[in-house]
Amino acid sequence: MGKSLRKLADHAEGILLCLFTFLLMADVLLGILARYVNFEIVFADELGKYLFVWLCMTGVSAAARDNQHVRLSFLAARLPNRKGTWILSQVLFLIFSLFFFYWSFRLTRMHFVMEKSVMGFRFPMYVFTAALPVGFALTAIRLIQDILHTWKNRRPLNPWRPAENNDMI
Amino acid sequence: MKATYLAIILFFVLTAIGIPISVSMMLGVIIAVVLFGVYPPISLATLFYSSLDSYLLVAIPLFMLSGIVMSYGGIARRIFNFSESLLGFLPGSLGSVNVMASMIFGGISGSSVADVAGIGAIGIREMVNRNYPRPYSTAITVASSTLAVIIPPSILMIIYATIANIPVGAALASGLVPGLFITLVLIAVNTVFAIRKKWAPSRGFSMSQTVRTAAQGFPALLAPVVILGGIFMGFFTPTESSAVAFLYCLFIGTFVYRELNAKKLYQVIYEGGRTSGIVAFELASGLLFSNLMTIEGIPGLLTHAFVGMHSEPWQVMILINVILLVAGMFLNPGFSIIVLTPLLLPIAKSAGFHPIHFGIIMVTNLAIGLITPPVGGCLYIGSVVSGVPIEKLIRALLPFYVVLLLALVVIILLPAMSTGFVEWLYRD
Repeated sequence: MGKSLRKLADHAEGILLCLFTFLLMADVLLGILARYVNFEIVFADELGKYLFVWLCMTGVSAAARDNQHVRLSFLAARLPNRKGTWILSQVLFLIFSLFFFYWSFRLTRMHFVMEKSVMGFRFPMYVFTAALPVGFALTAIRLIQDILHTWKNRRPLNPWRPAENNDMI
Repeated sequence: MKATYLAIILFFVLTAIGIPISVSMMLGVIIAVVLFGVYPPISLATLFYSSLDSYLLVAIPLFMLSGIVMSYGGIARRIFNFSESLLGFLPGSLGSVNVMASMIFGGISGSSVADVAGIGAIGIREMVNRNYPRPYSTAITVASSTLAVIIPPSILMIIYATIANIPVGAALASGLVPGLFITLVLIAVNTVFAIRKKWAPSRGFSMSQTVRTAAQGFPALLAPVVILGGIFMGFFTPTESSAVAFLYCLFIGTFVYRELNAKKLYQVIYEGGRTSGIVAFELASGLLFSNLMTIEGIPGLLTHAFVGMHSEPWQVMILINVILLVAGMFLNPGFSIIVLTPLLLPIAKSAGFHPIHFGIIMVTNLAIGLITPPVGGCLYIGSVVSGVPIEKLIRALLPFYVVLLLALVVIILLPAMSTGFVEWLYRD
């Protein structure tokens, strides 16, 4: 893999997040503007909602990449074989992601086949439900990277520290 | 009932081996649903999707981004300086300055963790530089960070409004007076501490100094006015105001204070998006679990049990508060709101509490949960920012726990505090 390609892969979530944040901001702000010039963008609310889903699902992967999903570590830290415990927890997380990847993929395909369009306006539904399989696939890739890294180097790529807890709010 | 029990047991086991809390919850629900055949697995994907399918929630990442960009763009520091020029004459002034700065920050961001990481870090550094004890400096910072989720805009309140189905503008407005009340209480407590420990004021009150920092901080101070005014006067919906807030903070960070550049902006967006992902998991796990409980008829059973007890409203309220405090200690706040609102709101209503009043009670309880172990986002981030070990920080926080609980009691006993401003706002 080329160096620039590797860099791109490493920043995949960041690039997507910039894109979705920009589109979301543009959508909401144009919605306000339109109201004040007495012009209604009928799809602004719907589009905003779906961009939000894409943004969140990309964020899920970014959080998995940096191991930022909130964990309770004080119990796991007391278990013997910390490397094994960590790998076990990541593998279960991976299974969870693959489960959701599979079923949300099925859901998206169902929408695709049925050509269901969003209530308010013309966007086909599958464009938005696709955020789920894409997000979970990215998450699964990040988890596999982390598991392989832990296996080889005896410690995670980005170790979870409760201290850097990015719990919301 | 069986599926819910299994999901709860699995949740504990999976969390114990170190799986992320929200993933443990969802994994528990998945296994229970598949094992007992509660509904077909594809519905899990539909449910996950529908947990994020609300226009109100769009405000969450944008308010979060505003909080982060305030720290990167130098806005937080101006707010701190302005607060100091106002309150610098009080004994132990920097503690009070810290509280006031958190209040203003909370009027823009609505995220307590962003508050500790942003303006909290500035406050702790300043206090330690001027010889305040490090644990105390961190404790007051962490305690005052609870203000961010109580003072509008508040991410927790937005989630509550979507679940409880009440107008989000009213729900947000209800936090204003309780937030100001807690600000005053914390400032009072800090001053009493300072007098007892003989900490000196940082400077006398000087009008020219205040005017100067106010002028420097003016664009920053205008932000809460624009945001809250915009929501309350009906210029914007809360979601729109979140976008305006982010745009405004971006603008002054880049062009007025000139502290933002492309690299920092990337960092801001990345952090904001990442945190939104964490929140999305909380929301989805909350909905999956609460849906399972509803299918198995648990909310009805619980309400029935409560009504059957024929207890006094105050007894009901004490019970509800204990549940909320314990939930706040162990669970993520967003998850708690999604799961507990459908359970507790009907009970609170039957005991005579207004949904808006109940919302602020719930949010205050969960805000206290943010600064208590073992799961407390603000507590941990406070410990990292300051380097004070968690145990020491908890000890320094003890008096603040008491004070915040007392403030909570006052908020419960005086419903007018929460609903008065809302009624005035929507008086027509």
